[in-house]
Amino acid sequence: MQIAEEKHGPVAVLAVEGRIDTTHAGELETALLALIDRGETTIVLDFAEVNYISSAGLRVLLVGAKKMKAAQGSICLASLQKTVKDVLAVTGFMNLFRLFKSKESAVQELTTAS
Amino acid sequence: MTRRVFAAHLDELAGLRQFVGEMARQAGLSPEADYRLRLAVDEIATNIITHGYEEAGRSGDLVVSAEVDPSELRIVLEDSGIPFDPRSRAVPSRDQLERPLEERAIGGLGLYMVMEGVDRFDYEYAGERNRNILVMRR
Repeated sequence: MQIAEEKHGPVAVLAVEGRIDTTHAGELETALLALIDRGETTIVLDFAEVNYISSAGLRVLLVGAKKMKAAQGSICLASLQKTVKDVLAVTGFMNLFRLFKSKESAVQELTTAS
Repeated sequence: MTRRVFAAHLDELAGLRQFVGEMARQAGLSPEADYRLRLAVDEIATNIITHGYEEAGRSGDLVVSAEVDPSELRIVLEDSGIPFDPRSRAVPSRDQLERPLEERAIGGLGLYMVMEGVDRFDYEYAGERNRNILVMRR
């Protein structure tokens, strides 16, 4: 798994590449919690290159989202592939995150809003 | 029937998923059904390796067999870890899955996706071995 961090104004982006499964979910958790601990309140997870997510990955998203909510911030998801979207739909995760078609549209809209 | 033996380690999961993917293609499953099956096998195998073997201080293997007949693809995962029937664990209800973030529970989603994802799930314990059976219609 590869995770690249970008900052666009007030928006922090983690571009994730690979599978978010038991073996790799810990890497995403570490990167995500580091951003939250640093005080980022608008985080976009760019999943354009993520073609697989298991319950280990959902757990990280939920832990992150709960922590962000407590910090009055939010996590947004961008560029979901169909397979990943299906998993999020069946587990009721679509309502927990704001979704964007692309990283670019997320950054643009979230920058204008803040 | 095709049979493969994997060591009960998380780094064997990639090979296991690849095997299941090949069987799904042979059986002509749709990409969506293939994904749901691989995810279900991944979740069950992860539970077996972490809870059935590692946390219980046991070691052993994971024997996976695949059988394609005219109507279905049947994947059987067999292990000698501690006995565990995934059907015995309560999965989240639809209502629980629609609750707001603050009330969402963190566990139980893996088995929920298994039960939602396959067309039939069975479990047997015989001869001190767990048998998890996942069936997809063709």
